[in-house]
Amino acid sequence: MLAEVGYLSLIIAFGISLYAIVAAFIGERNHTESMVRSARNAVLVAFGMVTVSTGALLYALMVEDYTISYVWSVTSPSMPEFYRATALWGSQEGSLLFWSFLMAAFAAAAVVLNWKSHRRLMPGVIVYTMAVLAFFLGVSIWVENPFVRWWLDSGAPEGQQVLQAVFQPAGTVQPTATRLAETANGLNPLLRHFGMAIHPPMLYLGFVGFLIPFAFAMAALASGDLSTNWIKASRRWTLTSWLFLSLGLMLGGRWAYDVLGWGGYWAWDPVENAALLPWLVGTAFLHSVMIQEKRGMLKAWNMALVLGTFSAVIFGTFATRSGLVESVHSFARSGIGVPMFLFWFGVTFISTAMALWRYNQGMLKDEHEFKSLFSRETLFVVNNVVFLAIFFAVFWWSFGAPIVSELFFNKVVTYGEAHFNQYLWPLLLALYVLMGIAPLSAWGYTSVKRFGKAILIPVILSVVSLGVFFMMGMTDVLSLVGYWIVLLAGWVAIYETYRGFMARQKIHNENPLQTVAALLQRNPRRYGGYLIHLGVTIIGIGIIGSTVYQAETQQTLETGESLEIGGYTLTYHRLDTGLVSSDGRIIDRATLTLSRNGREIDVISPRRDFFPESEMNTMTIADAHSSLENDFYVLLVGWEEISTQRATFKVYINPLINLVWWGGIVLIVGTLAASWPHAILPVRVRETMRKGREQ
Amino acid sequence: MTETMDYTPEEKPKNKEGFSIGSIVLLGSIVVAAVIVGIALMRQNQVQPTGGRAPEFGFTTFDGETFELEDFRGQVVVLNFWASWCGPCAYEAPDLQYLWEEYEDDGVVFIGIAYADNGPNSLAFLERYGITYYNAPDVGTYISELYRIEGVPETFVIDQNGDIVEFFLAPVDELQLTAVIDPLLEGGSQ
Amino acid sequence: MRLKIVLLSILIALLATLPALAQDTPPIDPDVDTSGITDDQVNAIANQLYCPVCENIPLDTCGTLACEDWRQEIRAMLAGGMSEEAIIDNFVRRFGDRVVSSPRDPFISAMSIITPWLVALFAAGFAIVHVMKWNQSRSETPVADSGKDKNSTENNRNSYMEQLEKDLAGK
Repeated sequence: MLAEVGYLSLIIAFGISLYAIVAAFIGERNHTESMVRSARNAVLVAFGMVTVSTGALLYALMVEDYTISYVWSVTSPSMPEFYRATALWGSQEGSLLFWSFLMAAFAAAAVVLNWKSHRRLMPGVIVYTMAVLAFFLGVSIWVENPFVRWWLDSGAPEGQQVLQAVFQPAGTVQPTATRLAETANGLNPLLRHFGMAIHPPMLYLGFVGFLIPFAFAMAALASGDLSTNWIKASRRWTLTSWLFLSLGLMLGGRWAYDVLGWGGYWAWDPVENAALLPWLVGTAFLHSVMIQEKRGMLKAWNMALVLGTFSAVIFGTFATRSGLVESVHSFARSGIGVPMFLFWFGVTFISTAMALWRYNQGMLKDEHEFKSLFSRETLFVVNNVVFLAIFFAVFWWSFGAPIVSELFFNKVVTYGEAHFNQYLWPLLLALYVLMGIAPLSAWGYTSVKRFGKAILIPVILSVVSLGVFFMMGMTDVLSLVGYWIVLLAGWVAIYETYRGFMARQKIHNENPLQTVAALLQRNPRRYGGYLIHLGVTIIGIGIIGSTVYQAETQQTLETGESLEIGGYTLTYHRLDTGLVSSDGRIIDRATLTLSRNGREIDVISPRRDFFPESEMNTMTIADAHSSLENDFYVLLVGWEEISTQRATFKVYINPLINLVWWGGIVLIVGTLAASWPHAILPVRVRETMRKGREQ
Repeated sequence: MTETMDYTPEEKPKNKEGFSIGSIVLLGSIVVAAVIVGIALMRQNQVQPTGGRAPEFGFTTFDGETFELEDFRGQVVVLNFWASWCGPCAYEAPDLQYLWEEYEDDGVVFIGIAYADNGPNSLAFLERYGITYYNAPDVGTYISELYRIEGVPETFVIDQNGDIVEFFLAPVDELQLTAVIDPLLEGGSQ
Repeated sequence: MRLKIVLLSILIALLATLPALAQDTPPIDPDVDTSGITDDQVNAIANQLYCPVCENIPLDTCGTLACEDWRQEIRAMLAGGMSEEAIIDNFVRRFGDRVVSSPRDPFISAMSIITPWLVALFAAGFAIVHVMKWNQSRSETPVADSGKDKNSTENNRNSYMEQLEKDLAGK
């Protein structure tokens, strides 16, 4: 019943999305309002149908309907409800359906929320969102169907008796419920972690969200309305998607840190990089649109960036799901590679061709010129060049070079973490330099004197705050330079916010909270932006600390024995084996105490989890003592047999690593602040403000 | 909230005929990139060859002798990928050695390729099972890449013309191999 | 002619020894005492290597039997007195460039480092040329700015104000 409902609603959704494309196209062509409205309704109905389909699969997961192959492959009777729900995106078929669900939701929301304000672009938006949705629905229907079920054909030859199909083939019976339940696979143990449960949805929201700016851009190209309308319309969507993508990336890092057990949070693995690439282009886009909105410049470039972001999204999901390069994250080999590749090519080629068509018609020309080389516009251009350089470098070492090397030189090569760390840091540092300088520059022209005055205090503050790192013993010259540059960017953000705060306080007699609220309302993007930059600064400090100054050791300890590292003492007390948890896993847990200067500060319990029913059956889960200063991170290592008498432990000391997570929270808050609805000022006031900026 | 439209009426755009050179180059480079990625995708999706001409390779055995695969044209070749850390490989090793001794004078050659494994443990493995047929380290992991193996043990049977006739993904035993080799020997003697 | 023959024979002799070089199994004694080698010493080398069996996981964190084997070999090599350089070289020779985190092959290494920088330089150059073109067109047409009505109204208004000031001053 559930499989039929799920499958049929999927097919209906597919048909309706095709109808929406046709209706919107015809309605726009012939200027028939009723057709366009019909297309809009079709978008909403498609969303409804996809929701029904996804709901059916989710329901099947919760009620343990193991006749559906997908449910059988990702859940098992002993799994707790929470993970049964998250198993919806636990494997290829389900995650694709979930992806389509989010896509349909975004499309419906875009159409509803922007209908009145950007009516002219709506037909194009409908056409392009539905085209992309139709593709993904098609993949779910014909290539990776989540609703196929198990059937047994006892009449067939040995080895071919188990069939998969949605509807019952002739001469088959359904396997018994108990048989299915006892052979069910269960969710990959690596995914049974809270972070992993939420990381894919966040990432997908980020990826899928960029469909809307893309659709608006394509609609603008198609309709010829290449003013800032499409940018204004998609501004909120861009910021929201960027927020989710940033969140998704950070959650992925956190999960890797907690569960994968190698003491780090970002390995520059190709699949990780595939998710980073759209983020890089998207961040460049976020900055670059400001130039177009303020100065009417870089139209062609912004178009290229938004189309590039979406192309990177599709490429990322293609590379991840098709196993294009070797990675820990690889999905199993499947037939999805070719259709996704062709789709990526189609999207990239068609969107580029349309943009070039309009460009050659002269419709993407700039309205103003650069007035001075030392201006905010120029710095934003530099910002974009740096982001592009990082983008290409990451792409090249994750995909380009390995592929070229294998195809043309017959050599398989690896680009590991060390390579990325070694060659990328100058570019990343350049970004922080720009973050420090650009907010102090003005649109149009900045006098060196004014700039010097503005940057003096942040420079002093950043040099002074360097002292903290000195005191912590972080004296490596290169890292201190890095810290200084990162700190400068942070202090600039803080200082500029402070100046805005004080300026307003002088004029208005209000309490500080009111001032803060007013600042956010009048100029949410500026002050939200400063907060985001502050978050990025905090993350940067955490990255430098935990990368440059990481200490590690691995030793085998007998019960009662201790090891020393970095001024800490870790003593091994005992090992509890064979503990059984509620979800069926068997746990070996070690207990150690951590002391410093003779004083005991924490008890640390790293564990090894064993999943009897799953293929990838052992997971090493670290435990750490976390503080602002560092993480004292301990892993149970299985090089030698773990016994209750002796065990091997790997210890990492990661200085300042928690700043990475807290900086991330600041970044999230900053992004929310930047999305604050803009206060509506009288036209008179706005005109004056605009003239003042242009001088 | 209706935002004011910022649409400035442009002068009639000068319509260039067709695309500029730069545009053509850009589109062309997208096509080139796609072709490269597409080929890589095809290659990645390829699995072990189960038919057709067996890929050529050269190897130097642990004893220092050097051969090319085509040196054995005219004989049946059993190509076995193994490693000393692989349990199932140990399981099939006695059968492989036994069959080698059986077929040694009948025009069958056994070649073992050590995958990701050419240290003292490999030599110990060969000694433990008394392996006397040709065994070579896969220097640079080149041969394993060529045959696209996913793991060990994997075995290929190549006929006298140099074509692959059978591929075993799992450990092989005596019965399975003789079932493939015998027909080849009978056919080849014609 | 004689020189050619001599050189050729040297070349052939060298080539003849190549297979032996390529087939370099490590010169270690399997029974060497490894108790003095700490895990940290092994890890220092292991985290620079990638075993082909695990997908993209460094050797020190990989849990497969193959990796355990490799780490034991490294331990034995260290006990035998081999330097870090020599050990890594040895693994590269036996298993290919893919075992290290940056390709060793000079050509591929150059290609992979230079290409991104080349693209970045190209992008920067493109941006610079563009900015300069804008700068130029600005200095060529000093009353620049696009023909926006607002601006010409601005100019009109300014000249009107000027005229008005003059009249008032003249009074």
